[in-house]
Amino acid sequence: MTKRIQKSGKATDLITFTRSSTGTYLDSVVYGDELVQSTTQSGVISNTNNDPYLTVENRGQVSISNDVLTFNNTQWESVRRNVGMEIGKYYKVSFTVNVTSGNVAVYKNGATNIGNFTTGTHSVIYKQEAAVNLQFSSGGFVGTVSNVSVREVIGNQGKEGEFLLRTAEINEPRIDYNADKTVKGLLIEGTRTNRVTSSDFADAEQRTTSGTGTFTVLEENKLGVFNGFQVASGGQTWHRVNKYVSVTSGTVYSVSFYYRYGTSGKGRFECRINGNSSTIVSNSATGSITVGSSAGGTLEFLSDEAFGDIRKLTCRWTPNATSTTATVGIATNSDVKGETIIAYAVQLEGGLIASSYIPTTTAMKTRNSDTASVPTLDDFTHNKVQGTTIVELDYSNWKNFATFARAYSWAHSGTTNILNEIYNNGNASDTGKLRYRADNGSGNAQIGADNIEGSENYNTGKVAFALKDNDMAVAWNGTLVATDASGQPALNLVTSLYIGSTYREDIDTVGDFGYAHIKSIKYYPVRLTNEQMKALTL
Amino acid sequence: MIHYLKFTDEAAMQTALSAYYYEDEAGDTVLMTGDGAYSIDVVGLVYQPTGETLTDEYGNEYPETEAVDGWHVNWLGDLPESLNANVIDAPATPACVFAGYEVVAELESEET
Repeated sequence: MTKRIQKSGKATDLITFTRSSTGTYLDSVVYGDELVQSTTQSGVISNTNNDPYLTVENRGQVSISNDVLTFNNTQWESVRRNVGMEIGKYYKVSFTVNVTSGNVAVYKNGATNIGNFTTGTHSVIYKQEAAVNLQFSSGGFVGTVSNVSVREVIGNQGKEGEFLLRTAEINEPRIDYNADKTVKGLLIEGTRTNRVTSSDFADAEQRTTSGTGTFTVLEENKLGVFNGFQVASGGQTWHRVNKYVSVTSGTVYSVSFYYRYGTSGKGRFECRINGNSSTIVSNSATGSITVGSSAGGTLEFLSDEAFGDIRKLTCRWTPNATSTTATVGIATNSDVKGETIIAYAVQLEGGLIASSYIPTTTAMKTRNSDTASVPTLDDFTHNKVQGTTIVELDYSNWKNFATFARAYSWAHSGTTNILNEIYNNGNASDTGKLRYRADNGSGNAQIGADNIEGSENYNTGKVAFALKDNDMAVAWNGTLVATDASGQPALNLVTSLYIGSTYREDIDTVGDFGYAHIKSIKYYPVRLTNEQMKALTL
Repeated sequence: MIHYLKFTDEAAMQTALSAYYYEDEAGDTVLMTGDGAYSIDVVGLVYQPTGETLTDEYGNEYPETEAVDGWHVNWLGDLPESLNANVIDAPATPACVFAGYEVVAELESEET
């Protein structure tokens, strides 16, 4: 299964993208007009009703009044709201359920169950693939369905849109947005598992609370997915909401907390095991974020990003014990009774980098790796004598990431695999620094492997890498940072290009995923001049 | 298709999947978790409730769990014949799922 990134007429048409699972990303969207037409019917709806917007199957014992559907008996009933959805487009479907008994099943595309819902206002986003109706079915459900809404989701709206945490389908590329709603780029990540079940605190049976605080379920629908769980201090800084999680002593985990400052303006993010806590405390007024305790194992603060008023705080935890009932939780860090913080979700995953959000329900969930590549150069104007590659990327995740990660790699079939590349080194002393390297096909570097001077001070930038026999150069953000007038980069051996990863043909596997955003990658089948490289990387 | 595999222990899994391990540039032995044609997710130990209830330090009750036999792996894609002997029935409540392959419990689908 492959999918091409659709940018007709550009080189990216050649790029093949795969990911054998869904994955989430942050988009900037607007919503189209309301598509649900109000019905004028009132009373019991019959199977033969003439309303073009409403279809009932079986007993027809569902009644309607003021557009509120009432399911009156516990036997199977089906009501379809016939909505003018177009196949291939994405829609936000929302509705309010009020349960007397049971729950209501909702089907998309006329056949696929998108969930069984209990009392509350619910919102689901999906791609319309078949029939143009939205079906509510009862199997033991007595209650009402109201406020049904269907609006098209129109993505890639930049500053005109609002944030939406979307789910990309299998083999669909993920283009993320920055906090300022500028495009961040194509997200490439390795396989990761969120080990926290019911990750959004929504399931009362799956969360616990600590202390005598006041805890309240909210319905905020932040980023289109997070309803929120308010924690109000009962007079202690540690009063919090928790999730149990299974962890192994000595294993490095990355933890992501999604939250919003409440009235306390503070936060306390806690990883606890066997009665010992490791904590990070934050203060929105001062901007201070520090490790408060490490009693539960080493804890390292990584980042705290804001997307509107929603924040994502990430840290790295190495628990000092093994337990199936370790907890990760969010507290107000306020000893003033009643002061609040809002918890949205938590993710704990093995690995050095906190990756994109993987929403879970009753089970842990695994998002598989992203692969973007030009796997064969048959249709690609690759010059075997000279060429220049320019990549613009956000590699802020590489900070303190002592593992190989690639921005791109031109590979070949030999045992050394990579012929030239921009990457993150696996040596701890060089982590977070952008490196370049080209070799002669036998593993001997012709230029590099060196850090791009100063690149460790940046999170984003453009790098141009030009290669030709006895004439190589690197430019970084408008400055020429390296040249070499001797050596033979083996461009004649290149067989493929991998973006955000690399490929080892000898074992047929893709690896060293970038955990980075590639904003653009350009290839010129000539050795650009140094001045051109400087100009194109400004 | 998802295949649920069970091995005696972690070492047995590593032996059975030896063809999927390689040494990376840092010299570490790494499992190839897949690239689209297949995906391997090592779940490891799986815990199930014993039926007993415990109480945590804050007074919250939670189910006691214990590890079930074996070392578990989820496999997405065509399964090599050599691993057929390790296939178990799909669990009703899997410990871990691949994103996009969740099973939503179906209500009664039709009047009979």
